[in-house]
Amino acid sequence: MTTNIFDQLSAAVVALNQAEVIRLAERVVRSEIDPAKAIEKGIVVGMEEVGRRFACHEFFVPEVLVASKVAQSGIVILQSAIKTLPIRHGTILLAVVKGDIHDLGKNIVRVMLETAGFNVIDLGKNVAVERILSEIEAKHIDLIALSTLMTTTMPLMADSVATVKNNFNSLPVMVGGAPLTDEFARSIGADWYGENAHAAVVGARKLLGISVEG
Amino acid sequence: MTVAECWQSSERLASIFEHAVRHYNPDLIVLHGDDYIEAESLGVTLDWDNGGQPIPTAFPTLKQVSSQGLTGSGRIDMLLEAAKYLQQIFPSKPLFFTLRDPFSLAALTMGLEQFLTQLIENRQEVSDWIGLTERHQQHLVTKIRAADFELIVGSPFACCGIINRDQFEQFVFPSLKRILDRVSAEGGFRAFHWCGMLNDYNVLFPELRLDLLSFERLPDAIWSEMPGTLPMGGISASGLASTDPEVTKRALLEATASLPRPFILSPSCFVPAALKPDVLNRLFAEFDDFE
Repeated sequence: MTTNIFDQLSAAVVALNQAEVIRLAERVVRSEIDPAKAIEKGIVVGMEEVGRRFACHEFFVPEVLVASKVAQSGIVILQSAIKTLPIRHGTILLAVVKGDIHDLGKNIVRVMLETAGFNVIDLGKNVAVERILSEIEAKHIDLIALSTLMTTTMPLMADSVATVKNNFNSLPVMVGGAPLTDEFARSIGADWYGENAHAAVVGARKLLGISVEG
Repeated sequence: MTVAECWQSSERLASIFEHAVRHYNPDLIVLHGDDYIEAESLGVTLDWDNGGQPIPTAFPTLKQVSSQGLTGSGRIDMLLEAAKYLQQIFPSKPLFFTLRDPFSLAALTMGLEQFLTQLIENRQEVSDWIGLTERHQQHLVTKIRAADFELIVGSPFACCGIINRDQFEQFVFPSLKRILDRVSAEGGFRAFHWCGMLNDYNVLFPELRLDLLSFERLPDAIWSEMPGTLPMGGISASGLASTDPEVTKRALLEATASLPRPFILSPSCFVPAALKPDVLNRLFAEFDDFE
């Protein structure tokens, strides 16, 4: 029964069925089922499938946005019943570089990383590298994730990566955004290029040594 | 100078554009203000004082926009004045105004994430928004053509794999085609810009009967489907961003090897502000011996 309800939760997320996710989450809360497990094996599994379909061009941005909203509606209910804090895999500092105000891709990446179990500090858009540095100094950050959608800010992306690396050489940096390529990412010293939100999760796990249980 | 300071007057705008044209010396001018200025004229509140591009801070409702009718185009008028000045100084250079397609304008006016979510949750509202923005853009086409400028229509939020083919076919294509039909009915070129890769939409492009297609990355086969369409592009964003001239040259030659001739060589997307003219001049020189 437990496995069945987890499968139903993940299926409801993939089906973008908010009412069903809410119904199932409330059923979990009323039962003896561990709500943290329901998040991990139900909702997160569902979002993994959403990410896979996004990477394969079966789902597109509207579907991912709705899936995120549906997943969050279940997570809010389940988290309210969790007595101990869930284990997070690490803390990722996420930002759109200075000069760029496009944050749609970054917002999708944030949701995917959070549902994959990462703690995400989202600095938003148009973020100067100085702010990134001060956040790193103030908090325990495990990974930097930078995004840009514009060709005009690609040089600023390069500057941001170089500045972070010059000050915190051991801190991994991953980059993403429509005009970027793997070649460009390597040329500016980034440790990972995320072609899409799913690749960002894969990259975060790889860079932080997180394995995914079967 | 900040972006907000650039927009203080049409004279200032004109001087900035003039500087850019003299700096890079293109054969054709594409005049672009900002993706948001049309949405601003529909009621989106923009923060212009953040030191960079304008950031939307409030969005109107469909009812608010419906009730206000077609408002003054604000900065668009400033841009038109700047364009008239440019036309006087550079009479031999064709000048194209950029215009958002109704789908993208609806997304900008409603708020992008909200719009894309409603594409699944409330398709009727999306259709209503697009109907409204199409009326706005039809009006703008007439205004810009009356000043004898060409137009290049862009669809930034239908590009880059944001939506699927069904969504493109239902929500983008019909109004886009009608806008292009209006442009040609008013004696203009049917010119369209596409960001990023094309996927399975390309089967629809021949129906747009384009005179000019500006692109970043398109499959070579598409040109055989559109024999009357002039390609404009070839210089990739990553090629421009590379500091190695050999990398840039290689990217350019690969991108243009199978383009039909003639084509217009262009950066096809925004050029980094600090890009030195000789980077582009070196690229253009690769085609000096081309027949």
